Amino acid sequence: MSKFEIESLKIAYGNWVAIEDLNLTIEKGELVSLLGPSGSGKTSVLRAIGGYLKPAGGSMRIDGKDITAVPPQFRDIGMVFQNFVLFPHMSTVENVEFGLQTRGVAKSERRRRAVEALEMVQMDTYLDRYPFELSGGQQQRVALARAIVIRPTMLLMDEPMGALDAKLRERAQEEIRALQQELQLTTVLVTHDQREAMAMSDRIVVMRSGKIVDAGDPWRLYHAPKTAFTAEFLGTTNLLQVEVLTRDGNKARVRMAQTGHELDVEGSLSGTNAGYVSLRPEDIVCTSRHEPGALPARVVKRMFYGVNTHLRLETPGLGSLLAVQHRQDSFEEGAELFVSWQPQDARLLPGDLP
Amino acid sequence: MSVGTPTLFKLGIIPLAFFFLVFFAYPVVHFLWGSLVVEAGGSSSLTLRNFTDALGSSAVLRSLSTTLLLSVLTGVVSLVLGYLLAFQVVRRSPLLGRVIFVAAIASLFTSTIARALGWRVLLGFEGPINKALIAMGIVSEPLHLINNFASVAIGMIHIQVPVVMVGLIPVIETLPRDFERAAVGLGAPRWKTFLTVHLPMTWMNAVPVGLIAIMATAAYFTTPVLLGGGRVDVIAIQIQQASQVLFDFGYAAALSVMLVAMISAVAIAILLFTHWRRNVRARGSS
Repeated sequence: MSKFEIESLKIAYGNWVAIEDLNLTIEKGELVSLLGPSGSGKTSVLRAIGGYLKPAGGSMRIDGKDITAVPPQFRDIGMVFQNFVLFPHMSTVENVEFGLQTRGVAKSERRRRAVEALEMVQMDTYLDRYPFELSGGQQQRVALARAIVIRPTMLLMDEPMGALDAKLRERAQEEIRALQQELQLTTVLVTHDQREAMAMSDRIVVMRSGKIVDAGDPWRLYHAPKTAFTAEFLGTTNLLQVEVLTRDGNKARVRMAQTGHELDVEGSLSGTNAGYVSLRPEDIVCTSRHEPGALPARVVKRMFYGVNTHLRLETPGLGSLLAVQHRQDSFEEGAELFVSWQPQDARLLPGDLP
Repeated sequence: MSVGTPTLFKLGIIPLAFFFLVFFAYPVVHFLWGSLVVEAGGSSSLTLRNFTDALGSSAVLRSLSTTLLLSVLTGVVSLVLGYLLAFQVVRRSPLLGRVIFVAAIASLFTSTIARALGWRVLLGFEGPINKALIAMGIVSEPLHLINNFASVAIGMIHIQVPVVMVGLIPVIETLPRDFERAAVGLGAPRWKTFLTVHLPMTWMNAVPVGLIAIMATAAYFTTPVLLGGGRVDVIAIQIQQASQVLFDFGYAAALSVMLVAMISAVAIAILLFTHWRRNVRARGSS
């Protein structure tokens, strides 16, 4: 497996520039997710890596070798497409053999390697089935086998779970991740599903309007996002529009734009006084008794999800807040309660409205 | 959509159905019925004589086979050329695609008579092709390029290619590009992608478009007359002779029935074959 580098990539559709000056390095065996809403340019980047789209500028290297001008059929990059696009007129094993046949691998060797790849995805008992005879999950496995059988320098995946049921999705994420780690595949995963990105990636690259807004390991991105956009996009959060009043090192006192309520938060903006405070729903502590520093609140809506309960709260100072309760302490709708949080859980972040 | 719309649609069918029955179904049935009726001395009788006469005539059989050969040849060649053009329009650069598309539409707008006469000039005894061949020293005397089966076939293909191309554009557009991307990404050159992925996935929907060319060609009159010079005796010419020279409408109707039967047989055979293939592919796929 190989190290992959993108340097000042530019992608344009006619006069419209979709991506400009994008830089990204992916280490050997690393799984990097490109995460962003639709239109953020993540699929364009993936297509440029695969060679299906000619960049308007910049360069790409695999193990130091420039591949920018190499046509896709000579790139040795495996790709799992959205909807898998297995060839409908070929059986499972023929689909997997296709990439070996184009490389001139002898017939017996071809079959042996195709079966071996299908064994890795537990599909070796379906050799002669046609794609329409397979379930979505099985098609995905075959698509994965077809991509890895050519022993690619890297693996690209374009929304690989998009066509799967929610139930099947988590299982597939686990399996693909395990296989990727076992084979040490340098992988780029494009997804708009933040849960998928967090569960599978070594590193997440958050994209918005053709730019990288944040990048890092899932833990860091979730707990210490750099922008309000990242905080909102990964998981769920309460974003409060605020104005900075005073700064004290890495802490600040801010005022809510809408209610005028003042609070102390973690982090201080530089260059601007306008920003957002991000407060994760699971960090909000709900109590029925008043404690020092706690704010009064009322439960507007209660939604029970089994693993947890979501409470939509209305507070005089902070407006509408979402809080997540685990198991106990479930309040009824209309209940009056008090909310509080650890000072470091309220993070001041820069950003325009996500 | 308002609730009343379906009812309105149903009412809208009535004038259409009326128009269809009065101006299409009635005259056609009346005309074809004429093929079974023979008038002799004031009394008319039902008989198959027109058909036995026609099937007994070697001229009719020859012209049926000429028509079949001409229409199938035109259909096949137009399908191949139309497919290649449609592929360029859909899958290549937008500029090239637009140029091809405009050229095809422009030739569709031109009268078929003008196009046939154009070929007469081009292929004529003293036309530019013969002159060029002599100038290059390939032949010493002008070739007879016109008034034969080949010139009629060229004229017919010229008429049908744009029609088939326009019909094939949606067929090719329907195939998601990711299939071709997948093949290319797996190392297949463009031509191999076309032959092993693109063509097998689209031909079942493309062949019925070629069928339109076959059916249209079978009934063509002007091009065989203008480019065949009386030597390419298609069934349309026989029908015209029977009805407008001999005034034997019953015989003309019988020839029409035979033409319809022949083309229907070809159409059914093709549709059954492609439909069967499609079913094999689509079985349980959705």
